[in-house]
Amino acid sequence: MGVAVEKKGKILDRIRLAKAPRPRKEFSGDSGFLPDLVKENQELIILRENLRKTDTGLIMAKNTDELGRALLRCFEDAGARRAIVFSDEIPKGHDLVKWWSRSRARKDSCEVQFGTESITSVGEDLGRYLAGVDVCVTGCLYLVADGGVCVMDSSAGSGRLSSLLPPHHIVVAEKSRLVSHLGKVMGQLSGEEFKKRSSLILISGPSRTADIEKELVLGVHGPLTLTVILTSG
Amino acid sequence: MTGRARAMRVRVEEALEKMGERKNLDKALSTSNQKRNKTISTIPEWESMRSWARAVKDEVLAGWDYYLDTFSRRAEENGMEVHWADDALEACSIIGGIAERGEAKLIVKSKSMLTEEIELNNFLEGRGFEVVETDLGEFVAQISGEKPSHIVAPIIHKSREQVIDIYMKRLNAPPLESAEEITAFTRDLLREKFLKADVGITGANFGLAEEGAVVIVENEGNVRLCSTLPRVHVIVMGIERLLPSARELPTFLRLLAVSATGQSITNYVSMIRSPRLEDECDGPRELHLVLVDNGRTGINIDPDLREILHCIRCGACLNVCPVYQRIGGHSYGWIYPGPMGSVLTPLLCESHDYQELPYLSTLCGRCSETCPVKIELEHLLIQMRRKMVDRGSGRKLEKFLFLLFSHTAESPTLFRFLERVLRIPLTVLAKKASIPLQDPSPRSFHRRWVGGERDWG
Repeated sequence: MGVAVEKKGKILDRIRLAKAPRPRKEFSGDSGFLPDLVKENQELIILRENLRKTDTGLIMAKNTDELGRALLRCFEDAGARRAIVFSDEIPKGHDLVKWWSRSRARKDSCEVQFGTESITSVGEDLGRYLAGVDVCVTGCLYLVADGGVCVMDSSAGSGRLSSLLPPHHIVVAEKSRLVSHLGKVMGQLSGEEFKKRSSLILISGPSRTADIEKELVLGVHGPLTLTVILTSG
Repeated sequence: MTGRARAMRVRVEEALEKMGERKNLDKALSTSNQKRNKTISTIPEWESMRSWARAVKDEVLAGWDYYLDTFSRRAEENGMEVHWADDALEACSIIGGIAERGEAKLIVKSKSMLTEEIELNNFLEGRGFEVVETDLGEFVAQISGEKPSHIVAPIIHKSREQVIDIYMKRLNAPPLESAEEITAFTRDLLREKFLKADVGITGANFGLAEEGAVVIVENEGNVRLCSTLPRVHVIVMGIERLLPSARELPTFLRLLAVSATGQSITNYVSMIRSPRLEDECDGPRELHLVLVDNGRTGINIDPDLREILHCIRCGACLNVCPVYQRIGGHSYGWIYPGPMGSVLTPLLCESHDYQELPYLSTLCGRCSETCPVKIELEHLLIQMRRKMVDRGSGRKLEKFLFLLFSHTAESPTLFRFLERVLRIPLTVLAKKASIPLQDPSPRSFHRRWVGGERDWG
């Protein structure tokens, strides 16, 4: 530890070599470049446009029934066999499981896991477990209209990997989570709120690359598809 | 021509020969530039964003000691283990030590120009670790045994066919056809590596001083895997990559993404504050932050050049540079190419081979116009040339000729006399030139102007 402190002192001294001491300028931070869509009541329109730009699906669901049906359709479209659901908006005993087992599109066996208990029990093999899941349904902390960004919270039951390893990711968000721009999120999360979590992940769209001849390919190391289901709660 | 200039010329010629057809690079760069311009055209505030970002960066550098101290203290309070490295070797030793203590065998890495700069992979492989690059482009570069040729798109110079060829030779891959198939093959191969890895190493795009958090941007998801799956996560960060707080982040995220790829925000932004908390189900148990100087505080001492420390590594100045467009990244010899590289490389890398890099520029200024944090790159390049000449590195003949010219230019009589006399050899040269040249006008511009002539056709 002593070595590190000494080294740090040396580096800071070298920085101070270059300049005279001066009072620090306060930065407001609010650059004012981010559109306040709430005032204009444009959030949903902008969100829709940005999700389309980032190859993200958007489905609106008015109630739990509609949400269940939307999820079922997503599962079917993905040709999924194993799903894991973290969203609080789908209660554990929801008919979704029954519907899915009756679904004609379903190939053979199907399995839906609910909530955190199913993943805490797998312990350190969580990565391998989630890599075998086809669809993961999570919530999100905020949904940002400008840029079409889902703000994921590492301290939520779904953790960090469930939105990354399965090839299909569905975010279920209540309309109240919708904010106009990232500036609002940063304003609300700086300070104590951020300290409750090890990380925040901003997601806009499925995983992608253009490394080979600038050709866009979706689904590199993360999901191939991302769908946002907005519920009106 | 000096030995160093000749070395640079040879290097450019070799790189050009290896690159083969330039059409891959041409196509890729024009796509990048079009995408960037298209997105910028939808952001009316773009110019004010640039000026604002420049002001933020000026503030960070003016208060660098304060921000770095605050950042590192907060990061420590958050549970990161903070390490300090003066130079490349120290940084490598620290990271090697972390891997050894963690009894690591397999290390997964995301693309980081700083780890290229300190040649981390070589060092770790020398210590017996298996190191796997996981960014698709960087992975291809690694198995080809090449350095990246672009700081954002490492294999921008390669065609799909070349990649497929390398995969078949080095990985015994089945004959793949499309970029999609290459990606799927890579995904499966690397997924297994991720799941087995003991240590993940990533770079950092921004350090948030107030929050003590590190921000890393990407599109593929490999940064997220490197920073979440292995038990130990090591962040390697240049000590200049700071922002005052998370409040400045959104605008910088936009400037960076638009400039780099034309996206309005990158696909994934990881804001990392601490190792896994007790109530969290995943994330690394150990989180190390290695803060690397490696010449940065030295650059800061020179007030003429320090603004290069504002660079956010978006790669836009490479994309628009007419020289980079012609010669590609490998011609620059080291890892930072294009205008930012021509400034940074001679400052960071003492090797004599790179000191001539400021001359790989037409000084057209497109780089400065493009830079999202308004670094005056072509002015920096001129400053560097000036400093080289001041140090006595100029060529003797060139110096002599310029001395002659400055005397001539200061004396109107001598100037007009030479103007008349030199017209004779110029006329001869025009006739003998291999490309057809127009005969020079029999009367000098000065005489024509004084004679009231205004029709130049």
